[in-house]
Amino acid sequence: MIATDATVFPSPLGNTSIRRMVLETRELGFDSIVAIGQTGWEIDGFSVIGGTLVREPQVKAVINAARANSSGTGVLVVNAGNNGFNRAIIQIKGVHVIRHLHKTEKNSFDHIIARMSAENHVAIDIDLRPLVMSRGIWRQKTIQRYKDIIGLCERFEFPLTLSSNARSVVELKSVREMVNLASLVGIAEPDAREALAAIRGLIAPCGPVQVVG
Amino acid sequence: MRDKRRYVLARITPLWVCPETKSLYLVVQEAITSLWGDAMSAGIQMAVVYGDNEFCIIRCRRGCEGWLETALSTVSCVNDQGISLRSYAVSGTIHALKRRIEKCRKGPVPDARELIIGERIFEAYYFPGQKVDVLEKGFKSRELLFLTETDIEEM
Repeated sequence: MIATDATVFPSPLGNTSIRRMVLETRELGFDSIVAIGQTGWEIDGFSVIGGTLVREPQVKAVINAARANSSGTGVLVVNAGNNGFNRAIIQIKGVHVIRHLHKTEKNSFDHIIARMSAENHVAIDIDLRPLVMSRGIWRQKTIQRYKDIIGLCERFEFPLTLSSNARSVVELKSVREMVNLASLVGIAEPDAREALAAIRGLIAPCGPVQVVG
Repeated sequence: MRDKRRYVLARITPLWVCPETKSLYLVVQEAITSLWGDAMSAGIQMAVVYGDNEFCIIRCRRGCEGWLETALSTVSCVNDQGISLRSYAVSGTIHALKRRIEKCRKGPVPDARELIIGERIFEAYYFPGQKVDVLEKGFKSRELLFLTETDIEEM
């Protein structure tokens, strides 16, 4: 079973080394992780996929990051912004995942951007960290926002990813825990497992059918 | 008539935190109540029946294991110490879970060894599987690092 944690922050961004992250996530049922700020490598069937995170809400920064990541082996993750910014970055070739939509305005992700996301095969990341760390009204707002995104996903079928955004061993979540937390926002178990396997398809998408011979 | 019960075995990470059962009960109760509300948490009837440094056994009403497991995923700290409770198994008896604990226990918490990195002094806990938890000894800061033996050798 393919399961990837879509975003983790090993040392120096967190307090856990990448080797320790690999040991722990392997025990938790994953076979790969996207490690922000790291280069990709593989050990005993476990893959560490290098990730680049763009936090600045500037299209130029995203274009530069996409050019630097042109080899295609890493994952480019971009923090969402307003509606215009999201529309611009979805069309940039090389952008794989858009995250933190729960922090943006409600109109920042509408049906037009959902359709563009499906056409350009750009995934929307469901960050499970606010569901764990937040309480009260903030968690309710996050759940409601994610439910809106899931509703659009059911209609337009753009890819989803699930991430723990862990900076420490204690913040990592097992496959079972991520499926349970995803159910809070309306993601059924088969869809959650599909979201956990989505990263591989983003890096190496299936091309059109080719006739050989 | 007495309700049927189920028992959830949860693994505590990291191993050296050693929380008390009362502290565990309070954080799990808070997690259940904030996630599911007072009405559902009253229906779950949660209680912590056993706890040590590595495992705890939590009781709930039959049929509520899924809700309890989801709430356990939202526990992030006990007494200002970062912690995670990962559900490991569910059974109808405490006896079965205690037999399970004996099979998969990693062992007692190892004694802390002194580790010097640069000018800073750390307490290092060496666990099986090359895992090393490093805690800084100091009054001003108590930095916590999760490393492996290979990382220590490279430092």
